[in-house]
Amino acid sequence: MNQDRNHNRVLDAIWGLDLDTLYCAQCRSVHLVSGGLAPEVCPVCFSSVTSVEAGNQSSGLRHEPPELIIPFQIDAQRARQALAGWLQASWLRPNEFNPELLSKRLRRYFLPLWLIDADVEAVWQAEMGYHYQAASFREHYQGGSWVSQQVEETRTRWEKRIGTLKRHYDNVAVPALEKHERWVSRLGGYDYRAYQPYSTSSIDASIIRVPDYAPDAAWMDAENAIDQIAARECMQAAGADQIRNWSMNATYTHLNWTQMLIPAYVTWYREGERYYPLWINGQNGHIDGVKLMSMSKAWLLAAAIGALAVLCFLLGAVLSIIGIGILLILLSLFSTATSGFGQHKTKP
Amino acid sequence: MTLKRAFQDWTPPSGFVQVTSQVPGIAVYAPAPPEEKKTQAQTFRCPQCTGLITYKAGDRQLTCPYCGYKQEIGARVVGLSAERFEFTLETLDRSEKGWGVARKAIQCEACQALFTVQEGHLSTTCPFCGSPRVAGYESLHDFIRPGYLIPFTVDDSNCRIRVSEWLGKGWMHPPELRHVNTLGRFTGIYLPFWVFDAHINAAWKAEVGYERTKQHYRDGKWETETVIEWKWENGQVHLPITNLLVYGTGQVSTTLLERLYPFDLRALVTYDPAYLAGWQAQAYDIQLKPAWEIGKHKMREQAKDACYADINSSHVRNFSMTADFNNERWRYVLLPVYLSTYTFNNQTYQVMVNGQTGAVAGQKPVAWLRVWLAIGLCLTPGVLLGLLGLVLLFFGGLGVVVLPLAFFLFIIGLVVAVTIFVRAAQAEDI
Repeated sequence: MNQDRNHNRVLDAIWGLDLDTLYCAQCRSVHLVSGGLAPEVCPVCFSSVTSVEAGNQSSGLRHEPPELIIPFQIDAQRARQALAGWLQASWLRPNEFNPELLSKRLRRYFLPLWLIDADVEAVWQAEMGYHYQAASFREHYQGGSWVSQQVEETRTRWEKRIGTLKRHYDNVAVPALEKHERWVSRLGGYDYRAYQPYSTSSIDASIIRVPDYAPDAAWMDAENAIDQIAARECMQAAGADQIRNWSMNATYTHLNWTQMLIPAYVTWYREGERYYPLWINGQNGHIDGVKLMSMSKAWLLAAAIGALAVLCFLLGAVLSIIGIGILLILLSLFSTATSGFGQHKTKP
Repeated sequence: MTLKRAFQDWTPPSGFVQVTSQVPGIAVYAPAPPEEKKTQAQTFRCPQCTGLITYKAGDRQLTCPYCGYKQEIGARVVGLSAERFEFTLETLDRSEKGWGVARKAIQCEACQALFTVQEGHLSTTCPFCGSPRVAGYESLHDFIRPGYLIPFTVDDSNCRIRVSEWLGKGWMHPPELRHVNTLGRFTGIYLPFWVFDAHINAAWKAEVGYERTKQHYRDGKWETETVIEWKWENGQVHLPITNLLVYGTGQVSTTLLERLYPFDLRALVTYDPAYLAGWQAQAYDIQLKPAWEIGKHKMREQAKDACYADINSSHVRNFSMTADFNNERWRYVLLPVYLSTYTFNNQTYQVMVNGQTGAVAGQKPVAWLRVWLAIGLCLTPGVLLGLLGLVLLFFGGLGVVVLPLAFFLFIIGLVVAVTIFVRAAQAEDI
């Protein structure tokens, strides 16, 4: 653990806040931490983190500014309540897996998305599908007469369209993390339409994940995303209902990369030597994490049950021995009594 | 940079036209719609002598009757590959309307038939009823324009020969018909027809009876009895029906029209107003929907017959079926027919000639004396033999043998007589 604060003045200027920069050598993730509350461990892999030296460009620090942010709709209080509710059904929990400790460790966390602006000039072609209603017929014959039925079906007429496109696309969202889809899926999805302009107050006392991908690496995704939007717009321009075999020969200019931040909470607990993170979606409260049972508590419980079982067995054994003894005594008494009565009867 | 230049230098390929875009910054080009010939109404005039030029039957060109000028017609033979349309309102709207050529609409005041003639031509008689009382009518803008037609290949002089031959045929008609000289002018007219296609998947269910013979031993001897054992069966029939013709006009006898069948649809050409030059044409008065009802009725009956054919027994009861129509399509075509009339004994009769094959159908007066004589002749053997049988019954009982034979002959004679009567009535009353 290394909590040396080391400011990157360029970054501070971009983000408008004093930020600590933390680098995890294990998972190679980089985080920015505001409010001077740097975490003890990496929130992703729970290895020790080191501070990034000022001006070290090879560390993965990004200088693209944040532009939009999806604000927290679940405040810390509601996140704690959600966490307590989520824990309620668990038993044999590890000592650290309790609402109080987890709430104490709860930190605001932002995941990054790239936003790209671009001017696009293109020549496109596609097959556009236009829906139309067609009538089909069904005739039923029974008892010497026919009954007619008309069935209306929606069919698609495909027509070729070509054209040009000269459009500016603003804030096209593209994954900035290698496992973005997995992250979003674990956190139960986000409504990206709920964004607001970035403000420094919105990231106060938060951990901010720095993109894994550089813009160059994210360009392919960005191009696909822009193309998809362009295809949708071409379909709309042609007044069509469906589109297929779409292709575009395009130039992309005036590219501008910024970031969008999506909110989450992170907390963690430890069982043995391992760390277990819990993630809470800051927009809808969805919780993701492992509900672990404490092995030591489980063993203790098993030992208690085992001891009780042994005790019961011993008690049973003792009672059985006593019972058999009593039975033997009774049998011998009975036998003695019956033999004495028989002799007395035959002698006269 | 190359791409940028490609965008700036880009021009739409030929055959594409710009259409309305609903998004600014996006230009959309679509294949150009087929030429609207409707807006270029043509009057076919000779470029040499300015006389009206006409299409000559059997020829693929327009000919000027005054100076002999000839002009090729550009229409191509499409045959059975002629485009078919689905049953949608949109398709109907897409269909071009009007004739695409300046034509004059005429209505007969006597039979109300509606037909068109080329601009500059005046029809003095109605091709349907021969009445001279015809009047101009408002233009025919609301009609679907025909997509295809079969050009005339039989000329009117050939028609006259064929009809004369046809009139001379048949013993039940007056022999004077052979020499009738009141045969009017043959008016070549393109009549409207709907052509329907469909694929029918029919599922049937019925109780099917199978004959079984049983033997009983009764009163010391074996008796054989045939019984029918019924069991429920079901099956499926897939029936493609193509090129079913349904007439698009109710102005002419549909029975006569159907007697002109078949038309060889392999000779269909794309509609070109030039083929109508000098000819009359009738717009449909039976709309697509009622015409489809007629076609559908015929198709479902065919499907029902196919289902019955699928059953391996003649004993069927509680038959039910469901016919699912798929891939229903229609075409609107014009087929060539000559119409004419002739008078016989002060009565007018209609006659038609298939303008493609030369087949003749029409009304023919009947020599009823001949018909009744023929009917009498048919019945005579049975009646006479029956009388003989009755006589022989009193003399030695031979009549027992003769009477059944007489009855058999009478029944045969009756069937033939009825057939003759029906045919005679039909020939006159169509």
